Amino acid sequence: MIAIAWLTALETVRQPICLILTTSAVLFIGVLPLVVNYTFGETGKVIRDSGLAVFLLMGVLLSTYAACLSITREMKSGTISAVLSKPVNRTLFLLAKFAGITGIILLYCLLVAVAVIMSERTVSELYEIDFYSAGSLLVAPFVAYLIAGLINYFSDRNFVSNAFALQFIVVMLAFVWTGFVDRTGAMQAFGLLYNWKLIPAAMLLTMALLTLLAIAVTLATRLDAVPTLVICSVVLMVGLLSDYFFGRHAETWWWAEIGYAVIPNWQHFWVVDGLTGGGEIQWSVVWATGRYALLYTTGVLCLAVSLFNFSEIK
Amino acid sequence: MEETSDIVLSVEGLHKVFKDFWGRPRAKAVNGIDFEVKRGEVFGLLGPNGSGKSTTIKMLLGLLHPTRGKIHVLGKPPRDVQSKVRIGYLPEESYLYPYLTARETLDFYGRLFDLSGPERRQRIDQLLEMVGLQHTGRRTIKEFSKGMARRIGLAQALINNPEIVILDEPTSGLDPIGTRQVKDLIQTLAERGKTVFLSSHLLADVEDVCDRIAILYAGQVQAEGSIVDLLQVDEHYLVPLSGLTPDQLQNVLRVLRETLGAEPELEHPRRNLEQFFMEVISKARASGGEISGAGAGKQVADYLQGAEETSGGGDVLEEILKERAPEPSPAAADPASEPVAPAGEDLDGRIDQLLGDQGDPKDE
Repeated sequence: MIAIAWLTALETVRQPICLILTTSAVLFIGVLPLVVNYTFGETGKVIRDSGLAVFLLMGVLLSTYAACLSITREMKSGTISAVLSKPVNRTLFLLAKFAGITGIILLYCLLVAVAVIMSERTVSELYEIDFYSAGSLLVAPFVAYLIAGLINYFSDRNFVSNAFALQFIVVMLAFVWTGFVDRTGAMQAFGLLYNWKLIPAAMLLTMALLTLLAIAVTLATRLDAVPTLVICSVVLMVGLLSDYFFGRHAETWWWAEIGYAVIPNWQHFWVVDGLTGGGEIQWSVVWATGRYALLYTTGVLCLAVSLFNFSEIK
Repeated sequence: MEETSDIVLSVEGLHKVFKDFWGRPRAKAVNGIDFEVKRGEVFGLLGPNGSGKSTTIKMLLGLLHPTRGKIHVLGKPPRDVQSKVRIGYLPEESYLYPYLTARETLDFYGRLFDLSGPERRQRIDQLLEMVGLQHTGRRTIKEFSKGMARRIGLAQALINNPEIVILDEPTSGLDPIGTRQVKDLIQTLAERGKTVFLSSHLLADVEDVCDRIAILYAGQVQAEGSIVDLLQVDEHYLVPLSGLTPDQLQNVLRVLRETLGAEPELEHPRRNLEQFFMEVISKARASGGEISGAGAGKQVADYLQGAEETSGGGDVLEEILKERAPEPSPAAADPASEPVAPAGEDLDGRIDQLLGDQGDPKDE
């Protein structure tokens, strides 16, 4: 199982699209402060909302694409038949696939969450930009690409996976270094200017992405890539409006009750409004949502295993 | 059904109907086939495209579910996970992960069999050498030619030293050297007691290596039996003659003419194209020509052969040319030269350790 999970993660990060999505997310979030700095006191909120929206959007694309790549494309191309002709249990195979993609999604979430925290610090003073934070965040991906390019040139190692790993490492180093300097460049205790209240919001979005990943993996056992992407998008949109579509009718109509139970309610995961005006997200909310996500993911994965066990590998 | 000593693979009344999204029958791929494969034999499943060969193989491996009928592989149902430890499978296409290198690919498949790290590394080195891909370095599979990918596919099928090797179109996409190498490998594996089940529509390849064949058409077995029984023409004879002087030949023809009462047909034997190709390539290589793809490779991985013979793995091209070189006529033979063991015997000796830990079933 570990071998399959590791291979899944490796194959995912070696896909150029994975690197492109991750870098796009980091750069977009890094550029946000330069664009929206003059917004009459709402700058922090705009950065938070936009940054976390990019976090979610790119994460949705990454998780659904990775699921399609790992399951649908392997079934189409036939690599799965070579693996399942070995002593590999189908249930473990599917769970290993999920675990492998989960590893990559967690790295993505950590990377982008750090980018959002650095980005918010960049504009924490009205009409002023923290160039230490902005500069290091924007330069980090390019440094990673440069090092990966040199490694590829001199040792012929895979550029894409090295760039992905190095981007993660360089952004983390930038985060640590920036944490120790204030806006004038003087040393300070670590993280005084970071908004740590963003962590629960990022954790909730991570749970949302893993829940969506479970849905994508389930769909990928039976459907092609395009239907999987379309259905995941519909589930995301309907789930964001779940309270409106189903919640208000749930006590009256049976179909609304079923819809409210079956479609994940993404509003539980999008609580960034709670940070407005210095507010914070309670850990009890994170814990309750975590249980909801765990139960939902487990149920969906049980369905995925059942579908996969009875599927034919053509 | 328990595994018997003789029958390792049996198929009885097998049907497979593919259905559409609504569950309606769409195509009848396999329509009631029966056959058995004995331990140590090379069994070929022949048929044109769409005759049901690959579908049958996928049912043998538990990848597809039969609509009706029974399958036993090593005495177990095809979906039994543990019995797959003893099976090696080369899919029809080279179903490999495109972003992995050759070494990473074999390492992954080795891990699926829980091979220890040192054993995996040892086998990977030997398999890469065997298929001539030891110098591909960090090139990923997606950069490989079809033939190179096929060779890696073959290597992954042998990583677990399997008892049954199932090969779906094993020579598809290979150059003549690779094709010859695969055919020699199949024969060598069979000599060491392994069962080889292969499907192909390349009739010459099947004829060269198979003991028995079944010909499929429209999902049904149209003919089944040993190659000798099926292909031998009992009413005709071939008498190879060599070194005859023109006078001797005329005498032979006269006797035949008188005996048969008809003019006998007389033809010179020809080298086949494969042998001619090998000679041309050998000369090109001797003159220093290099290619960027797969090398000629070594005959058999050391872990598939005997310890005392492990250093004897030579270049497959040299081996083939040696095997196929015409025997010198008595007049041309050097009386002082040492007698040379046939190449096939040498090859046989080199794989004595093939089943080092499981023994040679033929010797039991």
